[in-house]
Amino acid sequence: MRMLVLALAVVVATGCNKSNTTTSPSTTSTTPSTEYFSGTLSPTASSFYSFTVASQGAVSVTLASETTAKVGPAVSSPIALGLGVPSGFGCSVSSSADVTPGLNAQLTNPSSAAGTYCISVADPGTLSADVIFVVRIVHT
Amino acid sequence: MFASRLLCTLACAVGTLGLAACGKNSSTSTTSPSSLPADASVSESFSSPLNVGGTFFYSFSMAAYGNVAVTLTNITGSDLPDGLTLNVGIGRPAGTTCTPSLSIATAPGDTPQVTGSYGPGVFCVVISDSGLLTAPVKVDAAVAHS
Repeated sequence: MRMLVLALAVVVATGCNKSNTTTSPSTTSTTPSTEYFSGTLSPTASSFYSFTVASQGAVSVTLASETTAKVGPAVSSPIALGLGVPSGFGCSVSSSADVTPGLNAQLTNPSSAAGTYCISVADPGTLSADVIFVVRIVHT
Repeated sequence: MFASRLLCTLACAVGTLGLAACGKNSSTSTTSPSSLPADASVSESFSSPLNVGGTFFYSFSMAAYGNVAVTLTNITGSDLPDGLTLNVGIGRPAGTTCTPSLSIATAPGDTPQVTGSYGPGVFCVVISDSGLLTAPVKVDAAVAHS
């Protein structure tokens, strides 16, 4: 019986000690996420795509492809690419540029706060037919 | 026999005290005070056509945690079916749509049909055909938020 008392005391003491254990703060590193926004853009039309930045960091946007068909020739007509915040029925753009497809980001924000943002694509008045576009978005 | 019972009682007492002590540790944990949602102080009205089987959404920004109230105020069109309802939801813009966290089928009215507490951040109201539309309609709605 004495052993029982001793064992119970040890178990209780061990359980209590557990609540006193401390955890060291962990450091988190955010790996950038890549999203692709693709679709068909008609003359005079526009569309937008929303994404969420999980933690403050860089956002880069690249018009990666613009073609007349899924498998077809590249198009060099500029597209108006914008970065902003969803508002109302659209995307309220804070920075924009008329761009052609490229390998380097055409729009960047080096320090976007966590939150919801959007990418807008629109015909700046140069399209004469539908084009298929792919926009690459890299963000934290 | 007496000694055995005494030891057993002692064991139970030690265990009870120990567990009570452990329980006390957990009961001293504190809970962060929760802030009350701010009253809705901004109202935005919007209208949009809605096709059969269609969906549209409207985005709005909230600077702080607060109440949101969405009212489907009116549906106009020809040959509206009796008891017409539309799906109305509140969510977050994601991709090319609005992903609702709450959605109900409701008829138009003067009082908010969908309410909740959200924010801060960008949110959206999404309205879609609940399967009852037989022709395109025009939808009027409003969102009140902080």
